[in-house]
Amino acid sequence: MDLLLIACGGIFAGLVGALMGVGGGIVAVPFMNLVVGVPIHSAAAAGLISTLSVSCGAAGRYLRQGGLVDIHSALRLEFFAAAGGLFGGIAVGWLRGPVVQILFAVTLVYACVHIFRSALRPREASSSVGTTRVRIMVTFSLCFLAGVLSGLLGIGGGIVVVPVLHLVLGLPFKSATATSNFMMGLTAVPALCGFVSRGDLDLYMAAPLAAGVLLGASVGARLMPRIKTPVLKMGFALLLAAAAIEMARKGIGSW
Amino acid sequence: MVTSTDRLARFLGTLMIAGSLIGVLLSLGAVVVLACLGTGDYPRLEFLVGFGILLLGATPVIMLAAFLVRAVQERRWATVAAATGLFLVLGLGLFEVLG
Repeated sequence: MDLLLIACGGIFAGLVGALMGVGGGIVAVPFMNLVVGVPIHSAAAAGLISTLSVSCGAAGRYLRQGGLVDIHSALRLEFFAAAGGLFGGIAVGWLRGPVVQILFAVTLVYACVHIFRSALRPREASSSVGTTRVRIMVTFSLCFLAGVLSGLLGIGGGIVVVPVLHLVLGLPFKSATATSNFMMGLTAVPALCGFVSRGDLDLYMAAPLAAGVLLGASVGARLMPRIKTPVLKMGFALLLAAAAIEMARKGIGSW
Repeated sequence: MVTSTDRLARFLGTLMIAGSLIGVLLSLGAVVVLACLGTGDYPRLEFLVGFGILLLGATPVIMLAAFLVRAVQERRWATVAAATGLFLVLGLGLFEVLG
């Protein structure tokens, strides 16, 4: 029964994630923690496995299409994201569950704002943010931050990386999404190492969640062009806001 | 014109899709069978659960290795340095797991 519940939650997380333009982890981790009742560290580890599966599937499709993934830039940026992921995956072991829950709630609020803004008006690429050196420093720092978030919370980090690639480096939005997907899998692998070493990864929960998220993300990607996303995005943003409140309430309650 | 890098990217794209699908389905299949069998000791099925996830995790690393080899052949030293740095980070992660 739990298997079915986790797989259904994974499908929902993947579908919602694909329609909102974020990874499945931002929905899957709160689902595992708040609905299934798994400790936040194990939920984050399962979220990383989902991120890995979705990233491999999506990046594979983008690589086959050709011209969308900027491989050379991605590899240079990925060093910082992977280092951040490794650090985050280890550092989360030093933090108590309630602290991670509150951090996740803050990230969910950021994701809500990000989704609301993207629903109201599509962003225009701008590569005029400061000088080239400043842009590079900002990009590297934010990629490291995205990796740390990925390792700490079990999310892909796309909510940070996509805006950086699009707004700071000036990549077209589709190319930024493809490149971010390519990077996410490589960030998730070192991030998982910390979870595996502590024994936080429960394979029997991660497998159905990853399969569900993979299926949901594939369906969501096919549905996306046919659905009017702005209204849906606002609805999902409200759902994430509710998850953020519940996560914060739970974290503060068990402080 | 389709370059050799494009061909490699397409091949690796297929490899990534196959790796993620096989890895996830292998693990899921083994977990479902274990759930159906109930309590008991089934080491081969338990191995398959872990192997599927390992395959999933190895997929982007294999892709990275292929891009590293191609970058060396094309003498793109900045990319070689970045990919080597990434392998260093992955090595540290492996050290964390094994240590």
